[in-house]
Amino acid sequence: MQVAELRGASWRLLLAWVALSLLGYVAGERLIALLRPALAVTLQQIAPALTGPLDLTDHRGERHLRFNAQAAQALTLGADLVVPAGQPLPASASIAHLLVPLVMLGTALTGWPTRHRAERWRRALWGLPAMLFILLATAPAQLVGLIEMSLQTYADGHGADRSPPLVLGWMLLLEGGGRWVLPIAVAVLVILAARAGQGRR
Amino acid sequence: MAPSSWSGLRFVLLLMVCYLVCEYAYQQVPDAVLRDSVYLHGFVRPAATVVNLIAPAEQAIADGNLLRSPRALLEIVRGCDGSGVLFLVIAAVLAFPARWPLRALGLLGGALLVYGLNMVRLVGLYFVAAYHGGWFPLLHTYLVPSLVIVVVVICYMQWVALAVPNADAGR
Repeated sequence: MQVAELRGASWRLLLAWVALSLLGYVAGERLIALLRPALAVTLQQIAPALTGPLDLTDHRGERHLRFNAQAAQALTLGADLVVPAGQPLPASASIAHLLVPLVMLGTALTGWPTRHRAERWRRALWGLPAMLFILLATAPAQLVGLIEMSLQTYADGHGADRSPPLVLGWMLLLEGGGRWVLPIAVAVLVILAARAGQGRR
Repeated sequence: MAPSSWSGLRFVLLLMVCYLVCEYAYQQVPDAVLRDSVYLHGFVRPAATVVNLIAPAEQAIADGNLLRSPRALLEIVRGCDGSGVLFLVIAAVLAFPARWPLRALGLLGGALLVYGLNMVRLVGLYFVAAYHGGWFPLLHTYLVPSLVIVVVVICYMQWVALAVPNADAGR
């Protein structure tokens, strides 16, 4: 990429961020509602021991995605520490918070310059599954991670020797900054894939 | 695969590895050290000073990891300290094929930029919490984090523009 192109991209990125933040604010909840079945399937895959519906609710003046989970079976946390089947284990996350990785990915994909119209189309084509991937890699882990954090705190408080599950580590990584790094890395890959397609023509 | 694709893939891989190494090192720092030393001296005290400089009537004080005043209370915890953004900058600078003096410049400039942005964020959020509490969740969880990343990415691109001739020369 040329230096002038790099510098010109700055304005486009800023404008893309403004537009996508506004779009997320206005239509983000509808997007999450639309993708709720996919989120529910992912939740089932990463936390088969939990069951329950995903609802959109109000929480302290914010719209939240709430996993009204309960233990589908008895959860053994330690030698004498068991969470009984049917125990409610709800978790919720702000929809705005869940949208941040999508805004980051969308900003990078729409703000970064393209050289040809075909490249723009290919980027959009790759961008849609990438957005779905980012949402499914972050939002369900956020909800299950919150539940696992409560279980881990409970287990630690009772002296149970429980190894933190992988999803808890993933959630902490995402919350630390991974939810920015992941969309940026995916955006670079999508941009490269769209350019590589141009090169083959 | 084209050379630019290879270098792009290498960049992404190095970015992820460097970020994970930084994050792992950060997780080894005990909470008490962050709360009682890093956050107090590095963030909360300076933020309280800035708040009181802007509006002396606020009477903001630093209390461990808490920035408190009669009007508002902000708690600095892991993730609120700008570490994620800093690690992203470190990873992105190290992953890009620039000469080491330019990398050093990028790391130093990036660290100062992230610290400055985070201080503006903390002070700004303090005033939002104090006077427009209803805006706080939207700004804190949605707008400010992504804006900080966009600003950092834009500054990073300026650094890349500086580093590109060097990277080309190094090939």
